[in-house]
Amino acid sequence: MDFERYARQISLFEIGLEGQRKLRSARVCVVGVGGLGCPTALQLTGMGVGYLRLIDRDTVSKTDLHRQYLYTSSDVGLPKVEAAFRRLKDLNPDVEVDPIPEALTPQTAKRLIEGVDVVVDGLDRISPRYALNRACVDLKIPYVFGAAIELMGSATTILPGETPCLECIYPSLNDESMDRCAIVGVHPSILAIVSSMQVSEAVRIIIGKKPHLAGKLFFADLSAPSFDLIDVANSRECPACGKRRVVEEPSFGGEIEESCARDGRGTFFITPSQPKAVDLGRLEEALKLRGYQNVKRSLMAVSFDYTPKMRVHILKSGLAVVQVAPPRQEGDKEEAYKAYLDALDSYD
Amino acid sequence: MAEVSVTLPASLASALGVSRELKIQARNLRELIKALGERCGAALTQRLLDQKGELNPIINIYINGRNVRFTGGLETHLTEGDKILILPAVAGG
Repeated sequence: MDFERYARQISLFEIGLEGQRKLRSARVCVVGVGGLGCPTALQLTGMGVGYLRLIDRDTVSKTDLHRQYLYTSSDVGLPKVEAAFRRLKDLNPDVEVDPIPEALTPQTAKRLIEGVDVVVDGLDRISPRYALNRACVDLKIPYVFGAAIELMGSATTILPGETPCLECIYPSLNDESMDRCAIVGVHPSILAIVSSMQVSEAVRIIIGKKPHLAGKLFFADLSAPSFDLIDVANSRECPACGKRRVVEEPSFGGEIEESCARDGRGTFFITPSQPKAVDLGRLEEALKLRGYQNVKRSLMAVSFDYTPKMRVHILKSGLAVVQVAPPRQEGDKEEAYKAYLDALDSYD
Repeated sequence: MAEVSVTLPASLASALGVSRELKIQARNLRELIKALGERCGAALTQRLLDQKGELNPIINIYINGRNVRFTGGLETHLTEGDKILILPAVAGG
């Protein structure tokens, strides 16, 4: 072990040498490497966890850079997990960083989080969080929830079978009725507070101490400001962990989903119903042969201009992010999907 | 009638110019929200209820730590000394 690197943690009563050894052998998964996931991944990597799995379907946008400090201006357009992988390996080469450019859905959740000791939430919507919560409940993996919007943030630690789960605390929400960071904004300071609470909780789980937020909801509001820590209770009627659990067959929500505009451009996420690994070298070659402009290959994606107003990023997992320049027009969604199919056709 | 203690979201209390911690007398949650509106202003009721008079989906109300969506919603019966916390749901990141 690199004692010098971790000296300030080893001398810390909370962690110590034994705790550092436990961190070194810990396997952690951060789902979503955005506003919350970036500071979480930076801290966990700096602290020297043994294995860090990063899951994210997105590419870096200019609008991310004010708060997602894993990324620099030159990373715009790269898959987030790829840019994060490079930065984190640079920060601490001791950590095995495992970047996975996939979307967490009810279909993929269990496979993506299998084999880790703790999951830390860096997501930005409620529907994948519900899927993650259920997967953690089923696999009995501790789940450190965190969320933030505007100047507010909350966190709790879910120990399956012991504490209330996310649906006990935040039931019946849907993304359509929730505020989105892209619309109402988010202050980087609340992200730092919530993600730091999450890391502190994950570390306590790893080193064998009871997490402070087990059975408690932390809620911070910097506009007042206020910090609440409240007891929350299990609900027997909870559809995820209660006695009347509603077992839902995971339904596939469709292959294409429109996200909020970023960098002034409309964004579409395309998630194939079945994962399909893409040979990026062959795809790059095929796209160039077809005459597409600005074809660029990175470690985990190939990007190209489908039309002057439409840029497509195909990730190696088969997902795609399509960005469309304004003005927004009827038929953009269909055109984005066609761009994706044409790209894969050229390759097949 | 039961006297219960209510904690409002900090930003909302601040915007309304009222105390975060209030003592209210009510028989059930619906009555409680009506009484809160009378005490703090209609803006509070508009934040807590939707246009149909049902609980706003992005507001969570906990009675002694249990989300009221599991206890009968607005018809949840209140008992003396209940601790009620009102918080907006936060799901961004």
